[in-house]
Amino acid sequence: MSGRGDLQARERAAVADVVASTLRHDLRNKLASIRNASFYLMRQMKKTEVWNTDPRVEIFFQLIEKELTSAEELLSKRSPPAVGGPKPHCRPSEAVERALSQANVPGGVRVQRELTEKAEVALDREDLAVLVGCLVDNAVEAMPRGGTLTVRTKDLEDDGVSLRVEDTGEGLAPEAYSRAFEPFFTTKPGHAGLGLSIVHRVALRHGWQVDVGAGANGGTFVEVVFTGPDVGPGSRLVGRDENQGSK
Amino acid sequence: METSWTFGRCLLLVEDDPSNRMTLAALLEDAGFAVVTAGSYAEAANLLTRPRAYDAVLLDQSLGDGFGTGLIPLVRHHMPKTKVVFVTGHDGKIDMPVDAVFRKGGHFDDLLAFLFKLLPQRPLGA
Repeated sequence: MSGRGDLQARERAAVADVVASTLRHDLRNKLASIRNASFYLMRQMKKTEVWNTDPRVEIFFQLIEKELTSAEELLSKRSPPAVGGPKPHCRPSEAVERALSQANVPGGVRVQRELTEKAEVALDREDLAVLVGCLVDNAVEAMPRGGTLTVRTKDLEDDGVSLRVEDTGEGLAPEAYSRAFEPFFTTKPGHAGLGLSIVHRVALRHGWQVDVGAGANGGTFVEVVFTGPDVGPGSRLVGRDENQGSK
Repeated sequence: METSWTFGRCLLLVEDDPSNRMTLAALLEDAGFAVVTAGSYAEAANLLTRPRAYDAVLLDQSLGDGFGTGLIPLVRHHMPKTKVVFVTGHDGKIDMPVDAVFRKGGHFDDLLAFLFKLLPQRPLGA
C-alpha cells in the first residue's frame, strides 16, 4: 500500500501512540500520588491504637497497595516489538518528497526545497514521511496569510543528517518554545496539538535530537538531527547536490 | 521517622503535580530530609540561583512552563556537588545528563534506598 490512505493510517497510529503514552504518563503520576499518600497514612496509623484494634485497617492498606500494583502492571503492558526482516532505512529527501506530495499546501505558501543529504536514516520512508508531514502541516498552519515553507536536508560533518523545516509565520511567544513538544499543546484554535509531539516521541525513541526555535526570517524552525549507528551512507548514493527549486 | 543518614540533608523537589509534590515531600520529610519544593520551572530556576546547598535535586521533566532538563545547567553551575535525579513517569529511554533516573510509581522505600546509595556518605553532623 503506498497511497494517501497508508500515510493517513500511519498518522493515526502515530497519534494513538502519543495519546496512549500521555495517558500512561498521567495515570502513572496519579497512581504515584495515591501510593505515596497511602503509605504516609499507613505509617501514621501504625502509631495509633486503631491499628491494633481493627485488623481491617491493615488489610485495606494492603488492598490499596495490591490494586495499585496491578494497575501499574496494566499500564506497563506492551505488544512485543516486531522481529526479523531487514532494518528499515530511507533517505530523508525521499520522505520529504513523499510528504510534500500528500500535504495540503495552500497557494499562498511557496515551497522551497534544499535537499542535499546523501546518507540514509533508520526509519521506513512512510514513517519518516508522516514525521515530515507533521512538520510541514505545522509550518503551513503557522502561515495563514501565506509565506515560504523551506525544507532542508543535509549531511552533517559527524555522520549525522539534519532535516529542518522552517516557516515565515509570526513565530511563537518565548514561553511557547519550551512547551512546543508537549502533547495537546497548541497556539492554534481548533488544533489538537499533537504534530510536534509525534515528531518528538519518534526522535526520543531513536535517540535523535529535535530543536525548535525562531527562524531567520521571523517564523519558526524545527530541526531533527538524525544520529547514531544506523545513520550512514545509503545503498543508492544518488545525491541531490543542488537545490531542487520551488514548488 | 528514622535515620541518621538523612539528618541535615536537604532536597529540592521540582514537581508541578500538586498531589505528587505534597505526598512525596511529606514522605521525604518524615524520613528526615529537609525538603524545599518548587511547583514550576520558574520557581525552581529562582530557587537554584539562591545560595543553598542541596544534596540532591529531584526533577520532573514536564513542568508546565518548561522542561526539567532545562534546569540541569543551573544546578551544575550554581551547585556542582548537588546530585540531579530525574524522576519520571515516562517509560521510554532516558538520555539526559543526570546522575540518576528514578521511575515514578515505585515504592517510597525504593526511592529511599536509591537516595541512600546516591548521596555520598559522610560523618554524622558534617
